[in-house]
Amino acid sequence: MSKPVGLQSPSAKFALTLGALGVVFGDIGTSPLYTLRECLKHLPAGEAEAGVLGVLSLVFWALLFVVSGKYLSFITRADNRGEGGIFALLALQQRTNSPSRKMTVGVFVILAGAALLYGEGMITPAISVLAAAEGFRTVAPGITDLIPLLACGILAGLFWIQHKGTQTIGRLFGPVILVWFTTIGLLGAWRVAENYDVLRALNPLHGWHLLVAQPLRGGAFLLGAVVLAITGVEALYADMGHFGRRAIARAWYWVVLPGLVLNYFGQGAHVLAHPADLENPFFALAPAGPARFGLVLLSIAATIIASQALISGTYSLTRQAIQLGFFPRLKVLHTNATVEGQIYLPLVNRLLAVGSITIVLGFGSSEKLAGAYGLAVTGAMAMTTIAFYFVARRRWRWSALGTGVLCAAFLAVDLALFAANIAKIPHGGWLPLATGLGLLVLMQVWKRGRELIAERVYGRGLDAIEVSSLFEGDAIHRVPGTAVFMASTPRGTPLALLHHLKSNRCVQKTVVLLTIVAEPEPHVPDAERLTFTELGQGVWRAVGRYGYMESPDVAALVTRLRNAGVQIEPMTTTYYFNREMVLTGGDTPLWEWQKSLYAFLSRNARPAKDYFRIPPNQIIEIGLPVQL
Amino acid sequence: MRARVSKPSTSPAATPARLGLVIGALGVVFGDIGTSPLYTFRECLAALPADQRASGILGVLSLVFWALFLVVTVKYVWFITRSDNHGEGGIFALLALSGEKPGAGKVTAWILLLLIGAALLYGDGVITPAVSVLGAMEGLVTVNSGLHHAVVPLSVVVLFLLFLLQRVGTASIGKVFGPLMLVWFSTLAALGLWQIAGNLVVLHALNPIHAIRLLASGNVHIATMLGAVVLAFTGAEALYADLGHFGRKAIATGWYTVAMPALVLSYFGQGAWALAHPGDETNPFFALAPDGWPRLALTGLSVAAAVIASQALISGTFSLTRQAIQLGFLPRLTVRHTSAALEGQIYLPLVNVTLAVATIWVTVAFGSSTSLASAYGIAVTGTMVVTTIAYFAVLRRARWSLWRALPLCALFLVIDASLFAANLGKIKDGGWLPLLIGAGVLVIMHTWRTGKGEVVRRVYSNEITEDELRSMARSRNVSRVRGGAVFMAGNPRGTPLVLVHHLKASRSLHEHIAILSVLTETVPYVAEADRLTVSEIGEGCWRVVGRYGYMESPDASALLEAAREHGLPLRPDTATYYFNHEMVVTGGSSPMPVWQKQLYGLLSRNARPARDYFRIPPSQIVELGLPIQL
Repeated sequence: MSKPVGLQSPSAKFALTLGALGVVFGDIGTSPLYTLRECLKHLPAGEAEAGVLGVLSLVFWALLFVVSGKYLSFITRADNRGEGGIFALLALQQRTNSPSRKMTVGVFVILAGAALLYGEGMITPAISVLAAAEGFRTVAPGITDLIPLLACGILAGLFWIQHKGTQTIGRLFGPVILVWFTTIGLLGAWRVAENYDVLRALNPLHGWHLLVAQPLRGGAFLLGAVVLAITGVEALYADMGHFGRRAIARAWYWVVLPGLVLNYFGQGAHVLAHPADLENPFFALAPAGPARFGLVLLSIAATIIASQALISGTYSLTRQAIQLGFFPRLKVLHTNATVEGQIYLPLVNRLLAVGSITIVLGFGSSEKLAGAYGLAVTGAMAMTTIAFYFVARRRWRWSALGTGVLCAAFLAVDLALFAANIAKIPHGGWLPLATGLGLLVLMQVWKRGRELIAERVYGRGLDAIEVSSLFEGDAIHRVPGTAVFMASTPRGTPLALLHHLKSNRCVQKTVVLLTIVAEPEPHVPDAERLTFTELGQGVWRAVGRYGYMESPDVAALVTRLRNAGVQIEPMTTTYYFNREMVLTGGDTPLWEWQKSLYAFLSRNARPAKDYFRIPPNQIIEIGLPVQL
Repeated sequence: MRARVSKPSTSPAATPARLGLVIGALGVVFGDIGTSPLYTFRECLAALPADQRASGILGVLSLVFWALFLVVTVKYVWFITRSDNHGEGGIFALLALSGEKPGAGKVTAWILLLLIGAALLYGDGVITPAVSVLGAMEGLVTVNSGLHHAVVPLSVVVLFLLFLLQRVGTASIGKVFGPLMLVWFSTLAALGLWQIAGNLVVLHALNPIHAIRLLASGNVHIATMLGAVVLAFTGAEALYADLGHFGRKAIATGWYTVAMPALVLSYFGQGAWALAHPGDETNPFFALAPDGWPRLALTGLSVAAAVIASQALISGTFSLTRQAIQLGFLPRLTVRHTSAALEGQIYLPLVNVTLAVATIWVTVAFGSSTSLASAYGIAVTGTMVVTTIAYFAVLRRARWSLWRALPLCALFLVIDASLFAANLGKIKDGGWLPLLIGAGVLVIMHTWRTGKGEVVRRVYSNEITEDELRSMARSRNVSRVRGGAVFMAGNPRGTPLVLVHHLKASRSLHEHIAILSVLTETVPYVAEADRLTVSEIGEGCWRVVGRYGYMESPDASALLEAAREHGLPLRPDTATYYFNHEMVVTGGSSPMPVWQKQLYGLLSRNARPARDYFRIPPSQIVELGLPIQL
């Protein structure tokens, strides 16, 4: 998973493509397990043949239009320094926008899209693992009752192993998924060879006729099932940073698309030949006996890989949200010192684990889950289209007409699919929707709360106060020792210092105002690590710079300051942090419940001091009352 | 509504006042037990095999009658309600009466047992409002069977409005609760009498032999039958929990003269109807009223009674939670007083929201009082077992001889334990839910208690003495600055760590220092004369100690104002208030599992901070973080 570089050797290209297979295409690649089965359920009994051809046609053209057309040809072109994903669209929008951090329509659309991805994130591992485990029903019908428990066991193991990181077994993911696509492609090709007739479905008219022939309700249900084939498409964009657009496109056109299409058509051919056998057309492709058993095991392996990709994707989505200020700080652990993307968020892992295991137990079968799946992802797809429109217009200055027509076409498909999925709400579709709504509220409240606090507390012209002027005269007692005040910006006076002076009326002889800056590069050269100036009256201002892969070490910075001649005794230095003590009941334009929610999040966010490696007994944390 | 109408007094009260108390008790104490006829008899009938229905009815009635007599009349009204802790009842009163000192910070096996009893009450607390309101609303189906789709949505609306109302308080409408319950019980009695009059044969059920025969016949599944009979007295614990509000006399009078006769008449009336209409599947409770408008009116009255019963349960949960907080079993939560005049009218927003979400979810998920009835009862019978065991300890402490206390409690325990065992079969039908809720509450209480104990042991045991404080304050390295400072201390001896922390870091101290401790005693109320102690430590330092009962809410600013009259030279309105903020870090050596340390950290971060007890402007507050490694 190295970063793509300009010119690549064929073997590097191959490795990158293989890696992309294991991470990007797990979700979309395991959809054949249940998609066609669900589509066929919604066909009228009388017209099996026309129906099957119509369904295949719909699936084929949906894959081509949405994945190849929308995502690979357009959306993936919008990258933020090589990174993709819905938050990249935000950065692209904002860089040309005025730097105001206000909530705009564009921001809201992106937050809604991201929130919906979380809603879907709980279902994806549940439905894929459950569908794969259901293969056992076609092999050993006796253990049908144990299938949900088996799926729970697999998921529990998968979530448990996250804290160890997956880079060692991760190398197998690409090859296993390659075997998977080869297998399902060959199985499909075998059936297609027996029944060429099915290739007629490549004609989009079959799909069109089916949709038009059906009464509106039936058509909606059918589209709701077709969506299952493309639920994994957002991953193509989200994981772009790891592999680059070219590797993803190569893998799609050479491996994934042929494998998927052959498999769907093979399932169709099998159903045409055996119209009564609709139970599980995917596993019916393999001959009964050891071959089918092997396919079940391979499916389970593939769905585990797909779930792993989704879990890692959720971590990375959350980290981006934290860094952009939409989410409170959480504990982020790096499970691998050399690979940047290998992170682990314990809280997110725990919530995902509880969520998806509850879903497996609550729904009990992939069939029921399919009735809840798809609403959130189609919503997120629509949000992506809208955000893409803003990026194309504002950043790339595309013409209004061209962009409008293009995005209208995308949006028409997205909205048609979304509308078709609305029928799923009473069958469990409310769950991802409610999860998404909850997270949207959370992110919005956090963002708004931070803005308001920044305005009210930090925006009161404190920047203008000259620090050394505070110590003139004899109102403030100077006691021996050193105080380091952590400041969020290298300007003005930190609030913790003001609060300290007001209530204690004294301060140490040496005062250091220290700001830690996180640079947008992995490592900062040692020479640029520390800069400092003297402000007079024994007050110094220092700035420490760290890359996003480095952990700040404040104690080391202070030692460097002393070596540079500042009068500091590191052992008796006191480090002052401020902690916002959020009080509700003020006059900000938020509802009382929003204030309470913000206060709750603020209390439970990970404190900044946890990052700085300071001996705990030298820390003084000053609570700073902030009324919302 | 849990108004402290008046304290129970030993002096003979005037008759109208006593009548008022009895009617008040009807509206609060007997709501839950009074709405049980809505579904109990129906569930008992369902537990009978179809071919045994006619012969089994007398046995069922006999079981219900004698269970009510033994459990409610004998156990609760005759015995348990005689043990009160300064007038208050409830499971935490038993804890105090059994001689346990709170604040020790350890969870002994004995405390754990009583905590299990208390935690289980939360489990059933979620179900009671749901089952009563659903049971009442299902009367609509007996009026017009087409209305069955409306039952769940209407129940959800009623419950939602009830929970929404809590923040306003129910003091104003609470006055009609007692009279309404009187109407309810009279209606029950009248309808029952009418049916019994037509079929006097049901009176044979008063003979316990019918109950024994039914259970011994081998034709019924004993566990299922007892599991249904339990529904008749799931509300019995309320008789004891609400003791403090009305006193034993009013509760006993209410039970003997109103509630018990009405309940027995209603159950027997339902039995008479069922005997006369074999094979009729209508809900026997609503079948007592003639079809049409009377039945609709009965449904309306039932909904009102169910709302009153739910209100009593919600207030009971608030009060149970506040007691647990005051005794140090739960983290501090926001407690609001909804009525300035009535002390018992409290509202805990977090408990209300949690209860509302859980109850409404339960209503929707179970969907009928029948499926809820199969989840109901397991928790309350568990609490009853705990009550009996604790009562034994209380009796022994009250110097009852073993030969008197043991047989009595053994009898109770046999009944309680067999009912509890019979209810275990409900676990798979939804009984896991109240057990799970109870287990969750228990884990929180246990974690809070042990975590707090560990924190005290590790951190606060290192506090310095007053002598050391004096010498530090005198020291030349410490500069004294103008003004006053108040430091909060959990421990009324020694010097709080927040002061030491402040002194070490800033090497300065204010001119006037007050060290303030607020203590909660195990009695419900503390006399005004014992409220405040003020003493001078020296070097400008003073100690102020305030004492409160567990039914009271501390008011620290009033304490400081009062302390000025005792010589404290500090002005509360200009002083700086120093609070410590425990920052719990895991990874220390305390003998708790890591998950429990993390849970304690979570609870500690989110407990309502002590500063909220003061009405001081935020700018006067300084909160110092105190790192604590567990």
